[in-house]
Amino acid sequence: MARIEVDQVVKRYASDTIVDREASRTRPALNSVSMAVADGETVSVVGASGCGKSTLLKVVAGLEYPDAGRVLYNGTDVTYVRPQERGVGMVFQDYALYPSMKGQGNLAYYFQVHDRTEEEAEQRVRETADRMGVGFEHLLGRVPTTLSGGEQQRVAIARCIVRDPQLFLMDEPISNLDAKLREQTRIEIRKLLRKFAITTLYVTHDQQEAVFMGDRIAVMRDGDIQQLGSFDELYYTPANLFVATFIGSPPMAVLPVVVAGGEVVVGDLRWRLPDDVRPAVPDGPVRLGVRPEGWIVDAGDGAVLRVRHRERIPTERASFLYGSVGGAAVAVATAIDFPDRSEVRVTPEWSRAYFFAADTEDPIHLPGVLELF
Amino acid sequence: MTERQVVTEDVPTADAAGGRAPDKPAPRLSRRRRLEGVLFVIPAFLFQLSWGWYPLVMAFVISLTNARFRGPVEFTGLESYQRLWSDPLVGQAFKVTAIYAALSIGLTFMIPILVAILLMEMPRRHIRWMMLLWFLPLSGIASTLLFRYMFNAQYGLFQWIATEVLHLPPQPFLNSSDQVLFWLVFPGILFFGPGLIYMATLQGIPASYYEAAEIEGAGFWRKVWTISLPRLRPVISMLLIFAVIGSSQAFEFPLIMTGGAPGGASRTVVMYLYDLLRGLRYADATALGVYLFLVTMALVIIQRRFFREDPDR
Repeated sequence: MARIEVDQVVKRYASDTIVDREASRTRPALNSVSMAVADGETVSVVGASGCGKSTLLKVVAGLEYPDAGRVLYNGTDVTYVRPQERGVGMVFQDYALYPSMKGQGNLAYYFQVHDRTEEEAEQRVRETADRMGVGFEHLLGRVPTTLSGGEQQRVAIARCIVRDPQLFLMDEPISNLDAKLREQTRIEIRKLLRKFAITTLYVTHDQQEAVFMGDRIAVMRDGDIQQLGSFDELYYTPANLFVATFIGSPPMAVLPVVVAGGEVVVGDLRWRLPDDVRPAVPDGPVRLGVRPEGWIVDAGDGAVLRVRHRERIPTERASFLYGSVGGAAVAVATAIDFPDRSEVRVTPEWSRAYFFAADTEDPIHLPGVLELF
Repeated sequence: MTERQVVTEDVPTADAAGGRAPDKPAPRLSRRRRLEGVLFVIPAFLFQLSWGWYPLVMAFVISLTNARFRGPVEFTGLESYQRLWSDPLVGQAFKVTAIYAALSIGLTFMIPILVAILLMEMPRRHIRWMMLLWFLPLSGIASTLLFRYMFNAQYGLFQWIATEVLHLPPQPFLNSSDQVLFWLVFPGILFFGPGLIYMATLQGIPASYYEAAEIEGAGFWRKVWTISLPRLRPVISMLLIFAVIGSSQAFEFPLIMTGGAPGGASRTVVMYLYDLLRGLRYADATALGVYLFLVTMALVIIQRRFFREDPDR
């Protein structure tokens, strides 16, 4: 088990080692990234493709060396230590099982490389098979090409567990699975991580997956970590507009508005701010963020929302109405039995409204974590 | 958060009345026509028929006759085959071909695989230059003529290296009946084409395989053995068949280099077949061709059997 620190890591790819993109020449893949992962904690790293999340993982694994900065395991500097000496286990999107070996051989590979005895390898493989749970035993006798994606990924995970890694690195491990299997495997991985309490970095581009897997979530953009925190922190106190719109589904609606004399002006509509919010928001143009659950439907002073499309989600007992207000895309959460209507009136619930500066992404006023219970 | 089970309903609005406007006729949906497919196949089929199957069948038919230009052509059964069977030159030609094939596969087949693997380890910029140098498209006949000059016993480059650089006595090279086959194979070590195919295959292996092995502490040769070679296996199998067929039909290179000298020590089966044709012994020539076909076929079948024991499938 290990405590991981990443200290101001900069990584710049030489233009000929990777696909030559304009962006990779003008800015580094990692731009002075710092983060700390506690012992036994799972941190999800989420961001759009090309944001540097896989590079971060490779630097932590030792597969890439940073141009500047340090990586520490338990306070020890391992920045330039070779990957095999770090005791990490890595799971890849394409599983990367050794093609010519059966499941057994894949698990025993490490012991062969390190000239351990046959008995030790066999015993460890057997133990791991037990820990992996029901039905894993029969995967050991089969070659990777005859296994399904989910089965291959189970073998790949077992291949890491078999040698007791102090750090688990997962690079989009379930992105190649189909939806149903993805959900199953996600739960299974979460259970395993809980059971073994191994420190884990989990990279994904899917924010729901990130929320599900991570004790904390790091949101990355263009080589920077924008915010690292629990889901509630990211959701209710986003560090900037990017995090606010990235986390949450359907996304937050962002309306360009003008605040004047304690009133919010959108087009020809005027909303009076309540007393507790008014002092926090200065006069002038700002951006108003409202999440789907932050709208009050059919209040008297509501903006007209023409419903373009309705989405019902029975498991959440909700239905979402999609439309636009003042030119901005808006999603509104309503009850599941909300009647079909082509028009509704919506008003922001001010205790749940977010305010951001009009010209930067900085937050002006945030609702804060809600006391739900 | 659970995976969303999404039920989407379109709320009816003016423009979403559903489907195309009623006055516009549906486009005529026509089935894919079989005739087009047949037309596309015909040229290749005719080509294969006239240059592939027709000569094959005709060669077999001719080999069973006396195949004379003038006078009645008579069916003579296996007479030609029997005559060749007792011809010592045929035995020699098959022996020469077998040694030539074994040498060229043994000495040159593994080299491009190795070079391709090593080349892929180099920095990208260098790879491009190395590929250009290694796979320079040289004309076969031109480089063969160049090699004939290099092997010249009096003023050739190799003789110069032997006497002036290595201080050896003058070497016979192609004039020695013991060494001639080795020296014929030797240029193939330096120039070999299929490396490009290996490199293309190697480039198709995801980097994550090597990263996974690296994390487990695998060194270079172990990565080659457990990842690169297994992934190259089908390509190696295919190119081995081509190499077996190609080297058993060796013809123009030995012909230009030695013409079969010294004393038939480098006369391959196809070269002897060529000699028979020039002697107007068509029946014997085609019969020899059928012999070679049978031997090559047997080798390919054995090779397929051998490679079918593939742990992957």
